Amino acid sequence: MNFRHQVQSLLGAIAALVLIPQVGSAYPEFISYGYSSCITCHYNSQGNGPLNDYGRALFSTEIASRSVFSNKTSEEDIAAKSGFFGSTELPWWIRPGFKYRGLYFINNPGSQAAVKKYVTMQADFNLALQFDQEAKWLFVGSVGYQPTPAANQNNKEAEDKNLIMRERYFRWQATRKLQVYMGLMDKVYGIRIPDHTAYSRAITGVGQSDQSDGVIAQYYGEKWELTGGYFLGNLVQEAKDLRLQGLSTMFEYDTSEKSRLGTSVMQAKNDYVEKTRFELHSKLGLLKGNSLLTEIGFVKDNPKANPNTKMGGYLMMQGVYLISRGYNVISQMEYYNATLTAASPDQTRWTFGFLMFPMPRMELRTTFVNGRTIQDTSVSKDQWMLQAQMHLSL
Amino acid sequence: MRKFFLILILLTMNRVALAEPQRQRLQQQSPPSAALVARDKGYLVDQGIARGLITVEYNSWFEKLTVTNTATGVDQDSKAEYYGFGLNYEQNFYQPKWGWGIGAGVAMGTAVGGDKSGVLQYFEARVPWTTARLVPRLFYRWNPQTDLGFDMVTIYKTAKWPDTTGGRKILSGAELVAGGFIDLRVRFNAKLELIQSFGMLYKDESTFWRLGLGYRL
Repeated sequence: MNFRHQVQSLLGAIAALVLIPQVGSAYPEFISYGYSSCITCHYNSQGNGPLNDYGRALFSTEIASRSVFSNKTSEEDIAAKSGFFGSTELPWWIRPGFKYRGLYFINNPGSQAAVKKYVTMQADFNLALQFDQEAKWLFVGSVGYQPTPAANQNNKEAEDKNLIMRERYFRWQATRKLQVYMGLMDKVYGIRIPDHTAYSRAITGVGQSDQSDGVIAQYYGEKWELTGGYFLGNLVQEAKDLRLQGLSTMFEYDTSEKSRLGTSVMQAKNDYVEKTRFELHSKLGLLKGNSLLTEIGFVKDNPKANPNTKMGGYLMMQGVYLISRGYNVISQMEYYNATLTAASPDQTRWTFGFLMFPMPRMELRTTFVNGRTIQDTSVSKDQWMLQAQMHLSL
Repeated sequence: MRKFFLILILLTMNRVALAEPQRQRLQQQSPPSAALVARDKGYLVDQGIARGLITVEYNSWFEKLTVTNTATGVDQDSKAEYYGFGLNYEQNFYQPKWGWGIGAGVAMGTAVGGDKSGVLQYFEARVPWTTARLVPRLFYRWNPQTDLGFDMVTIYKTAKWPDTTGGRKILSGAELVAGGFIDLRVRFNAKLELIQSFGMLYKDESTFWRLGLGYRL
């Protein structure tokens, strides 16, 4: 066994050990607060997308710092101000929202090749409409800005649209344990961390703008959740031959109150390629505010014009460690090899910094990202990036 | 775009400043179970974490690689990239808020380095290396499950870079290397500990990665 395979084996072994049940969402790290299921805070039970009333209040009273409030202000008062118009109550059937995410980064700081740039990653207006007071029937829509891909920024003939419909779906709570979704939404796969550039999201095809039309059903057991979906691609914004159609399913099991294990598989194809993904994941809550998320997965892309039997693999480990309410340290390690052989490079990335919620509705991230590539054919310099992000959830 | 950004910030501030009657109360969370409390308290028992720790780690770092023509004295610098596994034993001593420890171990792996361009073209992959190291450490006990510390590392390294054409001397870094690392430790339970550590090696100012898992004896 060559050394690269040994490296892969060790990373696999570490992931496997972390996934052992004995140890123990768009922000699945909040499992350490006792919220293992995304439906607690999001309209979409798989996480991501707009927050429901409870999610808004929880963001304000448990996640965000309360330093902007006086000591006399109670948590209930803070929660009461978490609506779209503050504490001005809206009719029960309508919940608007706005999400903004901006990134300022410096690539390779200190070098002659340094690049500084500000990017608006997301600016979405979203709306949730309830058709009954129990929210058995619900519509969620989200329209927003999508940045032009870097590769097309100088190409005037590119047809990239900056205004897109990101989500539009109906949710039907068929029974107390069964929810059905229909429309344009995120595909069911893996852990939905906010970092859409992470290998676990970018190479698997569940990135920021990879939503697909389809149907998803989720069933809640006593300690488990089973979700399955059939997707058709984006029927409005994608050309017919590019639409990926397929199936994905996820199973998650609560091994303890703050620990959840899961697995998902996704199979999709269009006129040009067939894609297969499989992953195992762990969401482990430690002491309050401290969590470790781990996902190990396998990726296979099989172009019809050039059949490929090789499978790639990735690993993502994200730890969030509470300093004080609203302020955390984040450490995220990633690995990816496109073929899991020496024929393709080992790509590793370490993101380390602060994850801060200085006030309700606001998230700041300041991190450095160190990317490293190991291959037999050349020695590549480390890639460095300093990042400052601001996320607003109005 | 900046104006847009400022407007958004002001909107955010305004949302917070609005004070009206309560619209929604948070649901009361049920108290943690006895099992969860016992698990978390388990980490407070210093006797449990004061025992020796065996760690297995993945290490990766860079060094300067210098190729010298022994006849002319001309040299050319490039980079060498080392990666491999380490096995260590570590003994830590815990105070209520801080602690210190010392570890020692060996590591082995392969390296790739050189430059295929320039006057002294040289490139080799899968060059074997071994190291022995001593690591005193000092750490802050962030909480019962997490430590954040600083490690001082001294590494003795052997690596034989081949010269297939002759007449050249290939030198990668130094045999004795020192460095300093930030070291973040997370205990899953009384036995397992995750190691996330990175830092700089003197004097090539190379970033060193260390990712591993510890088992407490």
